[in-house]
Amino acid sequence: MRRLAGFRAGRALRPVLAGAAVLVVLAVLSRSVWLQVVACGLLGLVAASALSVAFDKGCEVTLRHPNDLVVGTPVDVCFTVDNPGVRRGRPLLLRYELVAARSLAPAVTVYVDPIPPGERVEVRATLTPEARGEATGARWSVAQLGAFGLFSIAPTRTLDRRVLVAPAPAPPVPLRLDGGAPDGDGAMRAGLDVRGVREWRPGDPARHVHWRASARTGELRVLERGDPSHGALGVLLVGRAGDARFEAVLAVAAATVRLAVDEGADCYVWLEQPGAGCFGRLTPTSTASPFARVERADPPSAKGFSHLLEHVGGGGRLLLALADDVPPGWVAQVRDFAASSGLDVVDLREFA
Amino acid sequence: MTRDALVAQNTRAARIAFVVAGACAESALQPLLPFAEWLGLLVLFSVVGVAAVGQPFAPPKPVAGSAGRRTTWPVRQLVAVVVIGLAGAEALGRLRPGDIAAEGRTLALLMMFVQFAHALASRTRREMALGCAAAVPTLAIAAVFGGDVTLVLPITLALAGVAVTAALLHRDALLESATAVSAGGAGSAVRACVAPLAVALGIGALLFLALPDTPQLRAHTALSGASRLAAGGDRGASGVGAVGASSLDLNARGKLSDTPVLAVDATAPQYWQGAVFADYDGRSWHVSGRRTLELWTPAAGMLRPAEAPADGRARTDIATVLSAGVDVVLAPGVPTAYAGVGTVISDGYGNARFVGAGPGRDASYTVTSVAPSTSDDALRAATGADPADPRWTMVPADVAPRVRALAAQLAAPTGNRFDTVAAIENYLKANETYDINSPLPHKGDDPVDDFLFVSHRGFCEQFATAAVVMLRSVGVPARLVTGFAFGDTSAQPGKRIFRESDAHAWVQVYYPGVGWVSSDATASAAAGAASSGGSSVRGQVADALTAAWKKVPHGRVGAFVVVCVALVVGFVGTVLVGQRLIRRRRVAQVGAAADDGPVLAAYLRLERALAAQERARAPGETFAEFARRLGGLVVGAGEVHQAMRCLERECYATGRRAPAPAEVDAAVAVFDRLRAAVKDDVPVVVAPAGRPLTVGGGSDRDRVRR
Repeated sequence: MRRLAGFRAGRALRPVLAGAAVLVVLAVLSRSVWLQVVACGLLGLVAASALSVAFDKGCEVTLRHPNDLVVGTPVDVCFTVDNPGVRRGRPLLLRYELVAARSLAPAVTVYVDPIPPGERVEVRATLTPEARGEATGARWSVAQLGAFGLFSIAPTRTLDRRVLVAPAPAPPVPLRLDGGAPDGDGAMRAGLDVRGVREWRPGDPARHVHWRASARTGELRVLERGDPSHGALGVLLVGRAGDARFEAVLAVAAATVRLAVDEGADCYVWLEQPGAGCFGRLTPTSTASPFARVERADPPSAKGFSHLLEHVGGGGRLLLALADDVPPGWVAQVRDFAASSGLDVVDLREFA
Repeated sequence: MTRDALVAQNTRAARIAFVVAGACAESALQPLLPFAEWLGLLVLFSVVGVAAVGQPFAPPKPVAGSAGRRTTWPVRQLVAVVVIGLAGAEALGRLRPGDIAAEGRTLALLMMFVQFAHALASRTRREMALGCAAAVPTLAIAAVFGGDVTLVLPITLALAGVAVTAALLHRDALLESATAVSAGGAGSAVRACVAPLAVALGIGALLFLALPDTPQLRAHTALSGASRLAAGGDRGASGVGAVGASSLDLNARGKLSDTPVLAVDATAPQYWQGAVFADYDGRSWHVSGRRTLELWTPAAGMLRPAEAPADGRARTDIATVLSAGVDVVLAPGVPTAYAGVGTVISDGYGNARFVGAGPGRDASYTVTSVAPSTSDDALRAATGADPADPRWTMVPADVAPRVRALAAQLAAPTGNRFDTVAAIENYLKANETYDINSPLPHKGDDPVDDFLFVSHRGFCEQFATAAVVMLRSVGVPARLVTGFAFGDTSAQPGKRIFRESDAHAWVQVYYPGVGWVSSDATASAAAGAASSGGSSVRGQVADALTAAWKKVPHGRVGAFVVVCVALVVGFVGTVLVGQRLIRRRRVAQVGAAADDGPVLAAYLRLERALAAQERARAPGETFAEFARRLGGLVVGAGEVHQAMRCLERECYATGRRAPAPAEVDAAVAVFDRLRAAVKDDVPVVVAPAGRPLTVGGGSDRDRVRR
C-alpha cells in the first residue's frame, strides 16, 4: 500500500471507463461479440496503464534547492534523477513549490522523459520569486506518469526548513555616515562618501581599486571613502504586506541596511506586530530576515520606540520605512522625538 | 533540442497518430459502405489529417483581451460544421426505418464525415482528443452492423492508435506547461507505449475470454460459425432431434456441436434428408403426420410408400449411425425401402421415422431412396398436373403483402417454374446475407418479412422458408426439407461423416412429371459469400481465422487457457532473453582493445566476470573506491590497492612512472586470482557500491525513492 501512496487517476480515465461501460451494455443488448471485443480492449488499456505505474520500481530523485531567495532574482532548483533499475523508467513530472500563507513564487514543474537503466539526468529549473515573505517550508513531488496518461503515482514530500524571500533589490539610500576624520589622513576606513583617490596600500580591498585612474597613471589607485559614523542605524517598519508602496519602501530599507551592515555599521530594527514587539540587531547574515518576514507592522509602542532609540544612540540615524497610510501627525511626532534624542530621521518614502 | 522544437515534434507525432487511429477505425466500416464511397472518404480524411500535421495546437482558452468570448470562428471550423450538417442531412435521407442494413450504412457514413470534420478543424488538444475518441464509436458501429472475425485487426490497431495519440497529447501538454524539460524526441514516447500496449492486448484478450458464454455474450458459437437449426418439440437444441422433430420453430436458436451423427460412403450424395415439412403457420413448420404407412418391420420386411417420384433414380446406400437418438431414416432422397434395426413408418410425403428404438450407435442400415435427377432443360420443359393436395401451395393468411408482392414481381418475367425458382434464389443470394448470428425478429413480427425486408440476415432456415413461402405464394408447390448437407470426407478415408453442425434446411419444388426436386438457396448465398470472401484478402483472412478458432478445443475456456499459457511462456521468455541481452551488453562494454596493456586486460577480464554477476564497478565509482570493496577471502586489501595503482599508472603514467614488469606481473596475478574466485563463486566483493553524495553550498538536498 505504501508503494501505491499518491496513486491518482487522470482526467481521461472517467470518459474511458464510461465508454467501456456503455459498450458492454450495448454488447449485451445487441448480442454483438465485437462490441465485447472493443469494450475489453478499452478495459485492457486502463489496466495496462494502472499496472505500468503500480509495479514500476521508480527511481532516485535528488533535489537541490536554495535557502535564501530574493524577489525577482531567479535561482536554480536542480533535480537529479537516477535510474538504478534494469528497465527504462516511466516519464516523471517533478514539482517544487514554496509553502506559505500567500504565494511567493510560482511552482516549478519539470518533465523528464523515461530514463534508460543505469543513467542519470540532471535538470535545472528556474524559480523566480514574485513576492517577499517567509515560506514555512517547501513541498515537492515526483509524479510517475502511467501509460496513456490515465494514472499516475505522485508521492509528496515536505521540507520543513524555512525559506526566506527577501525584498527585491533596490538602490540604497546614500547615507552620510562620515565620522568627521580629516581628509586624507589616517587609515582608510569603511564609509560611503568619496573623499578622494590615493595610491594603493597593502591591505586595501581590491574592490576599492579605481581602475580608470590606475590605467591613466600606470599605478594602482584606490577610491578613499570617509569614516563611518560613530552612531548606529535604526529602522522602524510600519505597514502591511501586499501594499505596493510599502513593499517598495521595504526594498529600499533592506538595501540600505544591507550596505550599512556590510560597511560595519550597527543596525537595529523594531517591528511592532500584533500582540508583541520585535527588536533585533542585524548581522551580516540576518539583514534580510526582518524585511522578508514582516506581514503587518503597526506603529511602535512608546516603550518599544524608546528601546530602539536607546540602542541607536545619539548621532545615529533613524530610517522610517512606512506605508502611505501612516498618519502624518504621528510621523511628525516621531521626527520630533528622534531629533530631541539627537538622531537624524530619514523617511525612506522619499527614495522609493 | 529546444523546448519549442520538442513541442512541435510532439504535436506532429500526435497528429500523425490521430490520422492512423482514425484510418484504422474507418477501415472497419468498409463492409457497411460501397467501396468507392468508403475509399473516397478515407482518402479525404487521410489527406486532410496529413495536411494538418505541421500545425501547432492553439491554446485552449480564449486570448486575453477578447472579453472571454470567441467572436469569430476560423474558416476551417465553419467548414467542418457545414460538413457535419450536410452529412447529417444526407444520412437522414438514406435512413429507412426498420431496415437495419440501411441504419448501419447511415451511421457509418455519418461517422466518416465526423472523423473528416475533426481532422479538418481540430485546433486544440482537447478537440483532437475528442476526434481521437470518435474512433471508438466508429468501431462500435462496425461491430454491431458488420462484425466478422477480420474486425480483430482494425480494432487492435485503432485502439492502439487511440492510446498512442492520448499519450502524445498528454506529453504535449506537459512539455508546454513545464518550467523545464528533459526530453528527447517523440519516438521515445511512442516506444514507451509499446510494452503497455502489449500488456493491454493480453489483458483485453483474457478479459474477453473470461466473459461468461451466455446467450447474451455468446462468442464461441458465433465465431465458429456453427450452423443452428431450430429445435422443435421437446427434443431441445439437438441437431439430430431437430432434424427428426415434428416441428421447426423459426424463432428458436440452438447450439450444434461437432458430434458425428452418420457415416456414409464418400461417393454418396451430399444432401441427406431426414424430415419433410409440409405445413407452415407463419412462425414454424410442421410435419403433416396424417398418413402413416409402415415401410419396414422386422417381420414383414420392406414395404413401399404410397407416393413415388415419377421420374427418378433409386439408389441404395448403407449408412452407419454414429450417435444415439437418431429417430428418422436419413437418406439421399425419399426412402422407399429400408433394411435394418427397428420398425419404420412413412407418411408418404418423404418422412420415414422409427417407431420406438431405432438403430443404436455404430449400427448400420440399408436404405433405398429415390431423388429425381433431371437436367435444367427438362425441368424447364416439365409440364403436367401439380399434386392435388393444397398443402403444398398453402401460405398463411398473415404473410405480409409485400412478401407476396415481391414473389409476384420476381415470378412475372419468368415463363416456367424452373426460371421462377432460379429468380427467387438469385434474389435471395443478391439481397440477403448468410449469417449464422442472425438476429431474432421482434415478437409478433413475421419471420419471412423480417428476413426479406428488415434484417436481411439469416441462415438456412430463413433462406429456405422465404423461398418456400414466395414459391407457394405464386402457386408453385414447394416444401421445406431438413437433413444433413456436405459432411466431412477428410476425417475417414472413403467415408463421408455428417456431424450435428452439418444439419441443414433446403427447399424441394414439385415439377410435374418429375417429382420433388431439391433446391438450396442457402448454398448459393453461402457459396456466394464464401466465394466473394474467398476471392478477397479480407475473406481469406476471415476464413483462416475462423478455421483456426474452430480448432480451439473446448471453445472459450480452451482459448482462455491457451492465451494464459502463451502469456506466461512469452513473459518468461522475454525476461530470460532480456537478461541475456543486458548481460551481453554489459560484458561488451568492458571488452578489451588490442592495444591495452596487460594489467588493463587482466582488469577487464575481471570486470567481465563481475559483470556476469552484476557486481561490476558502478558508474561513477573510482578505482580506489572499487578497490576498497574488492578482496574478501581471496586477496588482501593492500594487494588490491597496489594492483589498482599499477593499473592507473599503466593507463595514465609515462616514462619513469610507468609500472615495472614485476609490478605488472603482480597486478595481473591479483586480478586473475580475483577472476578465478568469481568463477568459482567465492565472494570477492565485500560491500555493495555506495552512492557518492555531493553537498552543494548554501542549499539542501533531499531524496525520494519509491
